[in-house]
Amino acid sequence: MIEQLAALEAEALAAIEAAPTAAELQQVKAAWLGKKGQLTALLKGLRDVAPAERGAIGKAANVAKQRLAAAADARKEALLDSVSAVPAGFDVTRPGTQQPSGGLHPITQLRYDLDDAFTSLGFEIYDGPEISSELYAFDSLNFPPDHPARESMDTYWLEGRDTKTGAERHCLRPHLTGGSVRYMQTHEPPFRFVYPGRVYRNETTDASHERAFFQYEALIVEKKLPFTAGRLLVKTILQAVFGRDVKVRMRAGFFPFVEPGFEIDMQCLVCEGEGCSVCKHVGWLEVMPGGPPHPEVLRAGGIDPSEWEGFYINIGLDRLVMMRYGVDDVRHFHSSDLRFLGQFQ
Amino acid sequence: MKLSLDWLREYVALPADLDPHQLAHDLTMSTVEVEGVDDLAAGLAGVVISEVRSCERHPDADKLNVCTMHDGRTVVCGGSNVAAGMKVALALPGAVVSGRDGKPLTIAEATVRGVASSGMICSSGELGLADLFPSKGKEIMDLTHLDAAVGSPLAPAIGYDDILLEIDNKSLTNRPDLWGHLGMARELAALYDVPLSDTPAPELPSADGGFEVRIEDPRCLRYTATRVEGVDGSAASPLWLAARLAKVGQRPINLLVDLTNYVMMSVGQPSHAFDARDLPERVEIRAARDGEALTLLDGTELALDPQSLIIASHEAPTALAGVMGGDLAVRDDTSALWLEVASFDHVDVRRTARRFGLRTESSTRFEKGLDTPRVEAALGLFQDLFAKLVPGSRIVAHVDSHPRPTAPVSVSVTVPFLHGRLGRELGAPAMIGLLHRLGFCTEQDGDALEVHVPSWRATGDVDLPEDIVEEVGRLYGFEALGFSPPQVELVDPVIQPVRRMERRLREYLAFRCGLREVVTYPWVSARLLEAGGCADTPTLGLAHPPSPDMRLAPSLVPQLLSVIADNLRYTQSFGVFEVNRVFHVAPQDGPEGLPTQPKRLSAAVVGADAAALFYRLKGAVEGLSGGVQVAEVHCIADPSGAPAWADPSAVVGIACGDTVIGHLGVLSARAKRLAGIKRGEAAVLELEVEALEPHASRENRYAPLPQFPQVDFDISLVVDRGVRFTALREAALEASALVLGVHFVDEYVGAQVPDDKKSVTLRLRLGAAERTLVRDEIDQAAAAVIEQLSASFGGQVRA
Ligand SMILES: [Zn+2]
Repeated sequence: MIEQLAALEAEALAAIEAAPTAAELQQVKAAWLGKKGQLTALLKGLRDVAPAERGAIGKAANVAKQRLAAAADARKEALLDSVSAVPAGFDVTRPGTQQPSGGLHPITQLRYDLDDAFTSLGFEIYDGPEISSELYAFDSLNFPPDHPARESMDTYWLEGRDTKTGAERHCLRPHLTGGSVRYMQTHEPPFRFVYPGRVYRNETTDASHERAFFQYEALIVEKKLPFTAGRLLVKTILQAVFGRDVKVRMRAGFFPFVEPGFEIDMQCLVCEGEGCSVCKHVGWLEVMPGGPPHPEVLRAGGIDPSEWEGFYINIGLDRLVMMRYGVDDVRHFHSSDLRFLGQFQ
Repeated sequence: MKLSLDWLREYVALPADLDPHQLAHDLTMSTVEVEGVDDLAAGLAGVVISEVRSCERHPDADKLNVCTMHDGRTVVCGGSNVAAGMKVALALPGAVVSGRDGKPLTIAEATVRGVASSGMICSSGELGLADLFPSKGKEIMDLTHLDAAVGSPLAPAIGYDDILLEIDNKSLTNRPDLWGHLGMARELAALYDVPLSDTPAPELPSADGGFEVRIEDPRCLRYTATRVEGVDGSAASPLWLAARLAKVGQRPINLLVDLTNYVMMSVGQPSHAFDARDLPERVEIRAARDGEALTLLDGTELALDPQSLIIASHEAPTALAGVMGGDLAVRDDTSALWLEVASFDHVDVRRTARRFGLRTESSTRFEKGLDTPRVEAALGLFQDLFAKLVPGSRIVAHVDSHPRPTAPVSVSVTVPFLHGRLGRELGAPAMIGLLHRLGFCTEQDGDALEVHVPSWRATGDVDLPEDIVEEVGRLYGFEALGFSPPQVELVDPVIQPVRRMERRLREYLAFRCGLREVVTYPWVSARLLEAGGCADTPTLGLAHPPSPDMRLAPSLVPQLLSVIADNLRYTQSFGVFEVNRVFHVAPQDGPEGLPTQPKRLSAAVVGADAAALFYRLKGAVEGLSGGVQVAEVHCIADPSGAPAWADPSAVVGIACGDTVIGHLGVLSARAKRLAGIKRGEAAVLELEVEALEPHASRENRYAPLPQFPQVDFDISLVVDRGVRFTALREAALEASALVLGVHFVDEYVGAQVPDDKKSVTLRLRLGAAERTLVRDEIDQAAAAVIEQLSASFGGQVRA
């Protein structure tokens, strides 16, 4: 009978381990351990066993019963642990749920990168009026009275003010530098600030010309500010923005509001100066004019040019963004076309 | 402007081995931008001088000839003038010429109607030499009279073994001295520290030939008239001179006119050759009188007025001063000249040229500001050229009226000033040496330097100490000055809550709300203004707007509507926002009285379900305060002054405290129609950015966690559709002190409820600060809420 018991236990254990679901496990359990189960049936046969053996067999049978119950419990836990929350055939290759696809305008992105670089150097961020006057747009900036840029063909003058001059002749700002004079008039040097903004020029548009475009101006006024320091500042900023070593060159250039004036070129990051279509095979890109503010400009800002020195740059954001991403048409920036804007994360 | 390297070398002893690209780079770095370096000989590579040994009619083509060339090769030629014995320009296989459409054409071995042809006999047009060798119809270039060996390359034989430098004119605007080869040569002599050969000084007769120069207007600075006799108006220029002019883009005409152009391209001084018969007694330089007219060479007539400065003879205008001559030009039978070399006020020349739309080589130079001593340089060169090129010519009389000579300019600087600005101590001797190379004279007294500016730089170009910094710096080499760290004063940390708020606002809308930032133009059409609810708002206009009906937008909504309409062509659901200024007629305080230009935020979400879009955008507004760190912002129902673009049944005000700062609403059907939005729905908002109050720092406060558990339970009620959530919430909060919060869960309208009803599900949060609620308390509170809601709204309530 002991042998019978052992065989029965082994068979029951195998059935428990093989039960594929909790429900079937329950059936298996009933079939062996239940009131009409096989083990129970076997134990009922104890009555026919000699009393001397009965104790030992009964003990063995109880041990077997406990072992089977434990095995069934363990099997049940294992089955519950492996239950999946997803239906059968769950497809892990399907694309994930799309997040709301918002984002900043690519010009704003570069602007904020520049803001970060400049504010880390203690620069303030300035914001001025977009409709300005001839007084700030030209008179304060050492533009001679007959300068061609004053003509309507270049500047968007407001209507009904043809006979006015100076402070009363209003226009969409043709550059940011006039706003910088406003800053100077209301702040005591030394100071350093940046002035990001959109400017306007009345011209025919094409892939590289826009009526509205973006500038980023920076001005620092200190007791001493040699050319060599301005040059280092420019290099540092471009390096911070592009996150790598940037080669910069400054060459003679003429702008009425700086003296001496510079064209500041950056080595093309696409071809490393070898020449490519982005840099028109020159290896360098003109990114900004710069230089110390003209003494007349400092004076217009209420600053004594014999006491203070400055350094100024005016970065054309559109061109820099175009280089950053390889954009080939400046008109995209004002298109509001989400097929374009959606490319910039 | 184009410059010939060969011409420059006439004046400056450039190093023989100087690479033209290096020269272009050096000029670009220190003086002007060189945009191109064009090797003319390379452009004519493979084109040789040949001779037609025999010329037979092509057996199969009437208009073609089969030519045997000097080296025995056969070439089929369609030139109308080709003939045996003619010297011609032969493009060998591999040479590139200009094809019929102007595009490059590479010559190859070919068979033309059965006859093998090994090259092409060229017309001047095909070689880009039409100015130098004018031709008619299908004529080829006839070089029979060219003194050059057959078989030799063409370029050197016609003076085209030369390099052209293309200068960006914009970079030359402040350098009147550089508008000619001599000026640029002077600059190069300074750059490379090599000698310059100046033009010879003129030796002119003192006789005035009875001629009078009458300057009646201060806009004429100097006027010289020089009488040259024994000239031939029909003579043509020698090839070398014509070639020089043609290379720099000046079409050769005849010797006398070419000489004036040659002098202009050399010393930068315009001049004009009058047939002496046209100026019999005198010239007057005066303001034109009303009603006077000037007939130009091409027959057009300019109506003059007192603003125009003219050269007149016999009471009749003969030239627009400094801009253009009239129709009285040198003629074939001209034998004596009055040569005008003069100087005029640069501002006046610019205005005149602009007014009449006549920008000429002459006006381009005068308007930069030419110094009056330059007149001598021009006369010296004229004298030299007449002697060499016009045998028998005699300069017999000369009149010079010079009322306003270029004033001498000197600039006082100190050595420490120059050192301080440059950032590098070059030392006085080195800096003085650099200035001398550029033609400046200096007087030194200790640290003080008196710098005398040469006349050609003294017409407004150099007059400040900063200009001297530039001259020293650029000649030394800006790059060679190196770097130095800025010495800046420590200042207080920069804290700009408003700037920070603006950036957070953009980032919140982009990254939290999933909207895409757009930038639109500030001008907008009348149709969009009406669609955007601005039909009755006064607007500002531009004197010359991009298109006639465009006005400056007083709101960002009109542009936003066009953004919606445009993008709906490609996509059905999207969200956008813009932060920008709008423009109002009302003036600001201050001396300029500038228009008010508030900064606005506009946003739209576009899709199919207007209600869902409204709530999405409303959620963005309600999250503003936390997301952007500004004083609380909330929406208010039934706002006054709701904008015309909003559907009146789906609009709220946006308020900061008690102040309404904007509106949010579903776009009305009318606005959609006017804006051309044919499908889809949109929720739109606009608010005043400057009305948002940024926190100085983060304002969140920690709230202790509840000590005792709180329980949530949902109730649903069926109420009239008009019943608002805010009313339900108030009633629920009043029903029991244990109700801590009432949250909206869901709203249902449809088949499950009567037509005029809706089912609203609310989630109540119950709790007490000082104890754990027991079951009975919870049940009593729920019952109180249900009773209160049923009583107030008559709805069926189920917990
Ligand atoms: Zn490149």
